Amino acid sequence: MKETEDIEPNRDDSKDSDLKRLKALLLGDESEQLAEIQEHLHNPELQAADVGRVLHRAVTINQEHAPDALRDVLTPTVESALYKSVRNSPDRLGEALFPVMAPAIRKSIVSIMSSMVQSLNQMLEHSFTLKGLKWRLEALQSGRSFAEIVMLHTLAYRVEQLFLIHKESGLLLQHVSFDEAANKDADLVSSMLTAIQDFVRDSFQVGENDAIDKLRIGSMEVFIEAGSKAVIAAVVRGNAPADFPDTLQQSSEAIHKRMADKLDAFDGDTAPFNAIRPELEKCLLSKSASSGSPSNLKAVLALSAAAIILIGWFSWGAYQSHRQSLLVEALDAVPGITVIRSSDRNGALQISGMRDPLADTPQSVLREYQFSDDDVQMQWSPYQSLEPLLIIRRARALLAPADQTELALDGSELVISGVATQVWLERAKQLAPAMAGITGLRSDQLILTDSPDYLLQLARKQLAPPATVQLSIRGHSLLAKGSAHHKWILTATAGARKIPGISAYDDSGVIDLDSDSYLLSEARKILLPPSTVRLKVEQAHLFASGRATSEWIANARQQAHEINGIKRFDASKLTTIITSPSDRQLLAEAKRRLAPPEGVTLSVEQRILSVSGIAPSAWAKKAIEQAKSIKGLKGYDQQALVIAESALKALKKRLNGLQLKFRAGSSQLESDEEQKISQLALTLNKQASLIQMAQAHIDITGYSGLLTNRAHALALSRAKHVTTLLTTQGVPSAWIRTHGQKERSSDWAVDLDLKWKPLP
Amino acid sequence: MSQVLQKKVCLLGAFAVGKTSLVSRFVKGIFSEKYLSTMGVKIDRKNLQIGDVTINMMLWDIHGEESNKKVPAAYMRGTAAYLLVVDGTRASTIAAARELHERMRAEAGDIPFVVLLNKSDLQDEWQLSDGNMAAMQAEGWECFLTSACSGLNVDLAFTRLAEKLAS
Ligand SMILES: Nc1nc2c(ncn2[C@@H]2O[C@H](COP(=O)(O)OP(=O)(O)OP(=O)(O)O)[C@@H](O)[C@H]2O)c(=O)[nH]1
Ligand SMILES: [Mg+2]
Repeated sequence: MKETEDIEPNRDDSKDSDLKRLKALLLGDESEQLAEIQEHLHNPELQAADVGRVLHRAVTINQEHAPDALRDVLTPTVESALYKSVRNSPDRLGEALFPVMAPAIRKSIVSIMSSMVQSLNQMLEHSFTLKGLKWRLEALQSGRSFAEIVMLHTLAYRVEQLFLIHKESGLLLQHVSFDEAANKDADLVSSMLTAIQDFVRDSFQVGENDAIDKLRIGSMEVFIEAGSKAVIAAVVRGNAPADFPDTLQQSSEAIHKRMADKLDAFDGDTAPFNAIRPELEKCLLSKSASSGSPSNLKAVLALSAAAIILIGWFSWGAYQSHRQSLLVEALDAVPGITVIRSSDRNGALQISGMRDPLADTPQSVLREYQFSDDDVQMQWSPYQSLEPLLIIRRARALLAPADQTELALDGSELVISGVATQVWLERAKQLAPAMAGITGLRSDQLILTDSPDYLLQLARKQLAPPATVQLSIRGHSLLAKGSAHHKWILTATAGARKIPGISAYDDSGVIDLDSDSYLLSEARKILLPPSTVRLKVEQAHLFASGRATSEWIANARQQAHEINGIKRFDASKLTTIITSPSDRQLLAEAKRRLAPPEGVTLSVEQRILSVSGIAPSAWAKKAIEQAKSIKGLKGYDQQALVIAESALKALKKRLNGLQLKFRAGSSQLESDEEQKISQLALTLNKQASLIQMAQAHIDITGYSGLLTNRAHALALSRAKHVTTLLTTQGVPSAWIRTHGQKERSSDWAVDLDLKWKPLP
Repeated sequence: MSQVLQKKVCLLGAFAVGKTSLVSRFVKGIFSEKYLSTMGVKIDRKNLQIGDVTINMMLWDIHGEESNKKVPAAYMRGTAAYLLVVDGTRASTIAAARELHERMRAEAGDIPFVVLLNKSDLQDEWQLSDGNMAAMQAEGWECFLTSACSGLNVDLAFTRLAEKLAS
């Protein structure tokens, strides 16, 4: 500025027009330029434009000659300007600074978290006991990571330690660990976990009740179940089952319920909480791994690859770049995919590498990591991967094994197991050596589906025949023999068709346990029908017709239901026949009914009742009636029965008709008359039983024809003479009553008569 | 058998006053010149036998208070006693201690505490005036001149706090 004032005297001379002209002559155009310069010097607009043109150069030069000078001069101005700007519109500066601040804040949160988690990790890892120490040594010796060793050795998962923590103070109430050895740092872990919770709650301004429920630290997971007064933290190695948090929650609830007062009044004395150790110990679960499958291990390692992942609350940006690196890792881990380069170009992730055409598509991994196709540009050049999985895939594509044929790789040997056909195996043997990565083939574990043993086994498995059926294989056909229910026979016929390798099925040797003919034979065997009964089975209904005894019918009714497969028994066409009782039974029955008197003998032969002996006619009459009513009796024979009355009458007639001639006036019989008496005696003796039965007696009355005193005596002696003659011939005297009469009406001298009382 | 009591004890103070150094001195008996600012919280433990009671102090070494990085209330909850640490070479750390003290009282109530005026070995740089000392005394603060570097009064201060807890 001062310099411009120095030029001012030039103006004073401007009035002089001569000089002006001279100047014009001498200087020509330059005078115009001078005017321009003057104009410049007095016009602030132009001055500003001039300074503007050189300002940046000036600053650069200034910086070279006097470093920091300009900064020092400007600092107060800039500071107050910024101050004012923040005062006036904090949003503008906030927006401007956001790209710088956000990562810084993120970084600070993440680094605070990781430093806290790291110290927790140390506490947890250090606490490992003898076994841990052994594994650690092994890890050192083998050069593998400790986590890897642990997983190799053990488990699908194991709950290693449980902490019961006083929520407010973070103090340890109780601690249990899987191998009894107490963790000397348990109280530190307890407090540290609490501090981490507090930090998270503070950093993310979440509600009082929101909290971390899971922390992943290296290869461990810490499950946190926060109750109202106490927190349970469980340190788990491996993959805990999905319902493990529920287990913790139940324990937590039980503990809260039981220890409510103790939790409220907690002053640092943990002794009362020894009581709930069993409750905590219940949560010390574990499960052995099935011989440490490598894929599992890989998953665990991939998960722990990022040193510390705090689930659920990563800040977004860090999370994003973290996600990208996870994706790249995951892609690289896909068998048959090798990532060679990855870069972030304007927000789009660019990945290039090699990919075996048989490898899983990268898209599925993108989706798994929640990237869309637009987020990522990928370039893959094809190659043949020699990773086992890809070798297997190639083999599978080429050999097209059946579902039940398994391919695996042992070194460079293709191991075929499961089942396959002979033809397929032959082809596989030819093709296998030609495949990249495969030098040989082993099939000792392979079951050939065309072998009879295999087919039989398969058939048994598929058809599940009952014990009564025998299966056998002949060539490619399946034979069934024995007996089975209809249902099985049907399903077996259908099932046999579906068994690969079996071309025919012959079940003609199988008796259908539900068929009518089978049922009929079964019914015959069991019911044993008499010849008068005809059995018939129609649609599992058993019909019986004809005649049978009621006993058989009743029996059949019962047994018919016990025959497997018979649905109904129809006996409506059966007529009952009475069974003929035996002769003996008939005799007994006859004796009971007929009540034969003494002298009557009953006998039954071929169901014919014969009656013999003597009986009163009344009985005989009744006997005929009775005999008729005896069931089963075929005939009644009375021929041998003597009817007492008629016999007696005949005898009486005989006696009445006998005329004996005595010598006149004498008790002596005429000659030859005694003959008659002997014959009579014979007859009487013959009829002894009749006479006895009828209690009959013979009246012998003598006559004299005299009119003298002696007449009576003679008559009597005549009668007595006859009596004597009879008795000497064997006729019992008790049968005879002797009478003497003076007169007589008839011609002869002795009358004989038979008398009896009426028979019963 | 003597009773064991677990207690949460916080160390509070401005940044770099020597909280971590004091804990390290008290628990492990070591001191390092290196300054590694504490992030979040670091927990340590020390048992002290007071009469027939064993006090198991869970020491919460909390990051230093700064205007943009306040000590969260969550850390203070459940505290049984605390140490306020002041850096004797920076008088401004008294104000920070006072503020933390107030917040602690609001959060946990009237609980035992002691005040540690640390870095007492750096006499040349000592900034606390007699006035400052008198003011603290007047507030009823029980103060200890400590040095994590030399170990001066460190055990004494912690033991005093434990006694307050045991009584
Ligand atoms: N000479 C001396 N130096 C000390 C003493 N105590 C701490 N220091 C030093 O002070 C610095 C800070 O110490 P820290 O213990 O980390 O401080 P802090 O309070 O934990 O700090 P923040 O964690 O950041 O809040 C370190 O360099 C220590 O070496 C002391 O008594 N004497
Ligand atoms: Mg510290």
